[in-house]
Amino acid sequence: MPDPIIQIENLSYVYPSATRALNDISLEVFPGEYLGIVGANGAGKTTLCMFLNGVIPNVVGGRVSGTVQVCGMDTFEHFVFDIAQNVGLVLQDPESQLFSADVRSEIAFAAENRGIPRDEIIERMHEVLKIVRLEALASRLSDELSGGQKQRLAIAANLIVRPKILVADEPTSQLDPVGKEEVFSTLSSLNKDFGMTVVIASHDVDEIERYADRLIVLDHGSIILQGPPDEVFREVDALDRLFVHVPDLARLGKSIHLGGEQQLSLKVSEAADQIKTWLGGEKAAGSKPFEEPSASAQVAHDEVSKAELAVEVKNLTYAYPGTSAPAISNMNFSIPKGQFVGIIGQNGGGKTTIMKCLVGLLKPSRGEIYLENKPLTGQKVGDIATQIGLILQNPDTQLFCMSVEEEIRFGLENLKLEPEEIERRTEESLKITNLGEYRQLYPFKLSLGDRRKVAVASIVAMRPQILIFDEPLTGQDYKGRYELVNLAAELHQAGHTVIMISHDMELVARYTQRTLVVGKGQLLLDSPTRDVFDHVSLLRGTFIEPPEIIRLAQELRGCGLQSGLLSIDQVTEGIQKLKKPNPTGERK
Amino acid sequence: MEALRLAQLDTVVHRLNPLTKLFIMLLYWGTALFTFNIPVLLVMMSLALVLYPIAHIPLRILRVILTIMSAIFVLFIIINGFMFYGGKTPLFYFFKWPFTLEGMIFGFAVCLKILSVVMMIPLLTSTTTLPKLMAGLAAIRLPYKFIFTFGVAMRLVPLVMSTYFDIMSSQRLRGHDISEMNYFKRLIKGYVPLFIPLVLTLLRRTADMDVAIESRGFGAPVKRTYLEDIRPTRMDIVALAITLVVFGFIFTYLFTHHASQMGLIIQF
Repeated sequence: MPDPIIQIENLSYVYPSATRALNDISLEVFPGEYLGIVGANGAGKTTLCMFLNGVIPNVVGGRVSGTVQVCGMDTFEHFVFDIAQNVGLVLQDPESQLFSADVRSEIAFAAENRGIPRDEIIERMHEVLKIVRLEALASRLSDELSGGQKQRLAIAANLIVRPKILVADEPTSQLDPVGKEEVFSTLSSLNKDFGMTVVIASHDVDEIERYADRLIVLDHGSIILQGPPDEVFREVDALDRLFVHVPDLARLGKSIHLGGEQQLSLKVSEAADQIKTWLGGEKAAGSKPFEEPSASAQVAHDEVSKAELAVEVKNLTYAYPGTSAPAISNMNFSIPKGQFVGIIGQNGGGKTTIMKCLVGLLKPSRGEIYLENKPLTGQKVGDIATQIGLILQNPDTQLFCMSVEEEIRFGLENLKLEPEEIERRTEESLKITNLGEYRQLYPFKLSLGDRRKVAVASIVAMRPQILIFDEPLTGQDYKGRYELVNLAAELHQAGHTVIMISHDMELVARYTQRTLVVGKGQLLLDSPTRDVFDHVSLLRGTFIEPPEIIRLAQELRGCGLQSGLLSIDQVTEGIQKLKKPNPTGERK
Repeated sequence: MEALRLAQLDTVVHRLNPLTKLFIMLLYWGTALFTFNIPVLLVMMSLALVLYPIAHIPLRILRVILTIMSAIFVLFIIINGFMFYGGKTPLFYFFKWPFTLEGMIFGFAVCLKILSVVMMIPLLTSTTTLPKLMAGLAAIRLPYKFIFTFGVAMRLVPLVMSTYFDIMSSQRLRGHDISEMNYFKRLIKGYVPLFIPLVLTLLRRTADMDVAIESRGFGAPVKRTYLEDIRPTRMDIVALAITLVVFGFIFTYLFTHHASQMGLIIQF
């Protein structure tokens, strides 16, 4: 066994703000290992990452006990610039870790700081650009890159000094599925092809399960579980208690007992084979295997009368000023009142543009939008907001008041309502969002999830019939994501029309009744959610992978599993129903 | 933003050493500030104008500059027309005050001076990438911490702008639209809901940025190297030679013919 490259002993840490972040952590990481760190927000993932290159305690300060040795260096005794030669650090927000004007100078920065000769920088730059696959974009400005490209640039900027370890703190939490895949495959290639030690904190358990050699689960600053992902993820009950997302198949494996010691694989195709064998070969023979429906078979929603429509979009086209190609062109759809609709598709495909047109922030170049049969043209954004409310991805772009209450009142005061009415609606919003106990608190002090709820409360108070949630999951952990989307579901129950824009297919599958797939400025598909994931190649064209449980269900259609199953419970029930009539079919 | 993109092009002007360009610009500025001679200013402006197409800078930038400054120019000419100390030839009277020909000419000359100074700026900023300029400044021994701060500030401009626009739209969604407010209402109520989130968001972002900068070995006690090669080439020598000849002519002309129209005080 080689010596560990990272050795942490009894590390405890309290931030200068007196928040206790780490609690007696001991951890060894070996050269060439790929270590995943999971845990709810606030569990200590970021803090642990910051310790690995000495940013804590060298830059941030606070109370520390224990030791951290990285590549033989005591990180408490060395400057960050010394440790940085061995440890690269990639952060969550692509914007704030790029501070040079263009790709080349961003990459060169760390090498220039180390005084590496110019010729060598150029040589290394070629190498690094190749690894992160940005050769073609080398002369671009940083601002012209997509989110995934920016994160790969941040990786490259760290690689130029040839570190032995790369630490990534939630590098994909703000990316779309394409960006996510780009970053994970880059990290994986660094680990497999170049033997680099990779430490990654992330909420993306499917990818962690696929790539990591070992996994640690943090909770309130302590390591609760550790081991190979395949083992750790089977502790479904423990992970549920810690609010850690469990891969679909691990959860399914809990209720499907294959018999003996055999456990359900966490890989879709293997798991499908296991279940097929378990169900018995004869099941497979009788039924039709899964076939992808043709893309032309677009199923629209049931025809409803015009009066029942919440949103109607006719020939909507929008081109950003100064661009020739429209961002969306000739789009047509309508949404009946009370529907829960998901909009999915790759970034840059037009989702945001549609959303901004719907709320009046952008004026369509051509076409019309009707909200509850009233045309949008000629109305002010503030007035439109009483019909359709948009809850933005980042709540921090709107919070500025000294208390939650005032924040909710702000919009109502802008509507010039009577004081009693403002009071009534504020109370009502606080109740809906369960923020009563925080009413006097300063919003910026709240957690991200609660800040989002304040944003929801302030929009709901304006009583729009239609609500749009834009990427409600960005930066959320497992607990936070359900809180907010459950709130959306409650509002839907209460009669609101809800539109959810998301990259998270599991949520789209779980909550929405209908899904619009948008790509390249076009409406590619409009279908009931239960059918949408059958269009595998169309979705792949816009870089969407169905959730694992749905892919498994598709593979099992050949054994007679019914179509349209979206949740783990439905699939479990479906499989068990198939099993029942043939109790002798079990094979050892 | 557009300046950054133009700076990525590759023309003769782009290939010049940033220090050569800086020197030419300073010489040009110095001369423009030095003289009130209108023909000379016009000649200098036309020389700068010739460089625009060579450097692939769109002329509409000038139109933008002119539109922004035209109001100031008119004001300058009016004020100088009435107030100029050396005014002798009244053109007309406004009540008792004379508007003089000399004052008008002086005002016009001041406008030309300002315009020629401003005209030169895109010739440096749109033809020199930020890293090149930073390396140039480092070569003349400016402290790197200062240069780096300047570089990060330039990078922050588009980030601040986009954050500001995001905030503006999210407040519009709650009925707070500053474009619908009058000047006073804007000052009293309009900006608070925009600036507070802006400052707080940027504070959060810059704290992150600090971590990223430290993690890339900023401040390591070694002699810093630069990716940008800014050694002078033959082209720089040619450009400097041409510049010296042109400005040599201009100065000789000014000193022999119009010594009175130089410096800060002008006599007719």
